[in-house]
Amino acid sequence: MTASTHTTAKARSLAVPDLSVAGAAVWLSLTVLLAALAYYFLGYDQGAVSVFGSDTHVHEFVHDARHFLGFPCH
Amino acid sequence: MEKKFIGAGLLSGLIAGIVAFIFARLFIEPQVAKAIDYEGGRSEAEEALEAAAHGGHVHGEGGELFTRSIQENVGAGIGTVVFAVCMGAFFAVAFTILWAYVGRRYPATDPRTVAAALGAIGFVALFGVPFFAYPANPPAVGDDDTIGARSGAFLTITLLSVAFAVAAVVLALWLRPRIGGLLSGVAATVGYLVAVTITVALLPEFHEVPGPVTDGAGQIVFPGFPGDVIGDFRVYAIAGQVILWTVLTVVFALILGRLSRPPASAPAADDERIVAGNS
Repeated sequence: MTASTHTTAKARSLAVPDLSVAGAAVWLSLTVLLAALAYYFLGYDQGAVSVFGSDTHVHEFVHDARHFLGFPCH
Repeated sequence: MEKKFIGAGLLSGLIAGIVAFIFARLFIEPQVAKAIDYEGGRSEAEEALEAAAHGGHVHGEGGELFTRSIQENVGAGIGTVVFAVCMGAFFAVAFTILWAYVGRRYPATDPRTVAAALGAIGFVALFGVPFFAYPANPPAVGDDDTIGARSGAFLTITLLSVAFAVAAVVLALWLRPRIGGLLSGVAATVGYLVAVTITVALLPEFHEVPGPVTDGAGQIVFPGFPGDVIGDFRVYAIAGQVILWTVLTVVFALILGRLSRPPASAPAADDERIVAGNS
């Protein structure tokens, strides 16, 4: 039992990367990305620019919220 | 831990968004309704003038995509909550990074103090400065033709304000061991204010409050936009954001308080009880 664990430890000599830091970075980046996307659609899309062409559904739907929150609007 | 912080930020944002929407529905929406009434009356007056000048031409009403009732209840509610959840997400990420530094460097700091400071910075950088550069306006105020320029300028000041705020916090933390907490805070604040002031001075200005409608003889046939509606709308818009950021920060700090409790406290209490019972 002791011998077997010893050999496994020896066989895996490659340095183990610290994924907890990378994981944190991925989670934080993903959060910022999604929040920025939602913020863009809420405040900017279909005012001056529009991702889906000349459709104004998003704009009309959140129209009042845009005014409340101080975004430029007509 | 970062997942717990993100969860805390999203939950805080959700609660803050609901509270802010209730306030907005009660106080801001009546101002929006007055503005829309004004807009309707104004376009009628303009059409009547045009009809008198060019003979019987009346614009057909464009079909609305969503009724006013949907816009002021469902749309405004979802929009406000989505905004608040976004702010909660940004808050959580900023807190995680800030606390990773401050908590390691100054372990005696209460994380809730860091959260409170971040709430104040977030309110000023993401709402306060953009608002003072380009105040919120009710419907009917703002020229359709400049919507692109206004959106661009608003986004520019928002992004730069946030970037300057991040730089100011980095500067304050860098200066703190050298000149002390108070002076480094003052230096960072002054630096931030100078940077945003210069930026705002360089950005374009917009003055688009509709004036009175006059006929060919210069007679006023419809008044200009009522100033009290703009004033009330802006005061309530600020109040709404104060509520949003306060609730967001307080809920986040409360969750931090729960997360900070020693995780072994409940089992430890049980153990003590067992030990006490056995003895």
